[in-house]
Amino acid sequence: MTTLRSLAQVIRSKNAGIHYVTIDIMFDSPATYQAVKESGALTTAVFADAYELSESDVRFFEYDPGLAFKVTIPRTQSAGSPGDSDIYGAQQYAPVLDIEVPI
Amino acid sequence: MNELRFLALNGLMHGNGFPESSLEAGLEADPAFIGIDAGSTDGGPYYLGAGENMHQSRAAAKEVLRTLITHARAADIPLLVGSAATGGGRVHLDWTVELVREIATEEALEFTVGAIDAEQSASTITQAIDEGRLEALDGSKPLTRADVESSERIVAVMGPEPYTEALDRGADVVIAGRSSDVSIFKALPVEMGFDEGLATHLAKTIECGGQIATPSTGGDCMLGVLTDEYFRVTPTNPEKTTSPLSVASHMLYESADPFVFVEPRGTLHTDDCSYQAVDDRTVEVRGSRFEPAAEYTLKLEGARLVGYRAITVLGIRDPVLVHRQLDAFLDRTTAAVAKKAKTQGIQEYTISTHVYGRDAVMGAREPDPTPSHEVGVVVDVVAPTADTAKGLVHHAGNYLLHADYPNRTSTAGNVAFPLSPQDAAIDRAYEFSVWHRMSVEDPLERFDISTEVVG
Repeated sequence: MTTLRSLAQVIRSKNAGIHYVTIDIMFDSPATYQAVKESGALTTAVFADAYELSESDVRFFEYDPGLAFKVTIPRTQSAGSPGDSDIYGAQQYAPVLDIEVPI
Repeated sequence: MNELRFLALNGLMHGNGFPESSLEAGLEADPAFIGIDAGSTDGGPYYLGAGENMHQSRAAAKEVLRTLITHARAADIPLLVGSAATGGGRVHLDWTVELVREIATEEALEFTVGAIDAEQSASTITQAIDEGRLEALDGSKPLTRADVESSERIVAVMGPEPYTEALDRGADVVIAGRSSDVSIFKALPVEMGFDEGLATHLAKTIECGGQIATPSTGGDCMLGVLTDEYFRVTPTNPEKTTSPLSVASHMLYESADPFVFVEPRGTLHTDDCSYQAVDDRTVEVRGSRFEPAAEYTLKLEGARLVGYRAITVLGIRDPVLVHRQLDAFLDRTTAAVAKKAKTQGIQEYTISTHVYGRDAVMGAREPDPTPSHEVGVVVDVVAPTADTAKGLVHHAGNYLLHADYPNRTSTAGNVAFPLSPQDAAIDRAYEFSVWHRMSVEDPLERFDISTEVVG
């Protein structure tokens, strides 16, 4: 097993509008991207589990042209409203770093 | 084959600019226009609500704008600036147009500036509610009249048509209020009859200027070349490169879905696209598809004042408090503040405690909420007035400093304040109140366009 953080080149998060945070997991090697994709380790359910969300709240994309996976989840509150702790949504990717891939 | 070339830059909103040499190199390609986006909602609702630019230095923004204007006028090509001064409201538009006037005078230039006002009256929006022309976006609640009336400012995100209208009225420099980033760069291509799929995808690719080039640090300039069969992008800075990966990846950036991108006139689909390297600096893209919408829609953004913010920042090192009792102690603190608020008749306020070193960044989503040996706490109060906000946050800080708790040894003080005074008034606090879209008959009807000869 290998963690995503040791396989991916970029793991980042950012607002996608004021109600969503989107997490991008990007690779520089087509072979690594394909291996992760074919491992079946990344699914909507895995990310729902990582963020303790229901699967219906998670959108998961395999974006071949960018050798990337994308996960879009609801913010806990609208960006910048009182109590928000991450205005840009830029530090919400930590639960993804240690997801394990069987390669 | 038809070919259109144009330049896209970034670095205006943040005031950090771009290398002037990159713009000069780009102008050697004989571009038809220069475009730059100056707005965003990413920094939160404050800038739209308060009517301010994100970069707080007027002089810094002015110097970036001066570089753009002097070069565009020397080349005699249009300069299109979208989403003026971050928020794109009337106050942001006026602020930017005033910079243009000053620059024209100082540089002894005479030209026509076109200003496109994107701010909407409350009655426009409430009428749209009544007529059933509003749709909530991304899980927003249906918009009510109360939402509209409580909003400080509502802007409509324009499509490409107001840009071409301003140019048709003789504008050399167009300053637009809130705009789709894409509209800045697709307006002329679409009016000239280029394929809307390629034009939209090129505009989306190039909207952040040099951000798709490597290294992406700092603002920079990209050259976009559009034909009937493909588009190409190249950084004009010779020290930067692009790759099919860096270009394709831009569809991921700040977007919920990388294959589908919704704009006022319709939807861009990129699922059939190919991204090819022409050389190590230029990428060619084919296969973009545009699906025209049945109805023309304008996204609406609004912000409302929710009060005034004051904060206090403190550290806690005591292991009993940090490891065993922190949440209970913070709960008692907020209860003490609630009691104080009640005695003062303050009905609506919010208090948030962000515990750094534990879970401040991710809150309930933090997978490892084990505290460090010390934690930092930011107490954030938003209350109806600046005075009540400061009062309540001071009360919170004093409670944390002096209140008793089980097994306490720290009878001289529970927390470490790094600052004196220990509290800070921040400013007005806003939240987004409108995140909807409105269908319209005419792409121009919600935008007042004026032209003025400056200099």
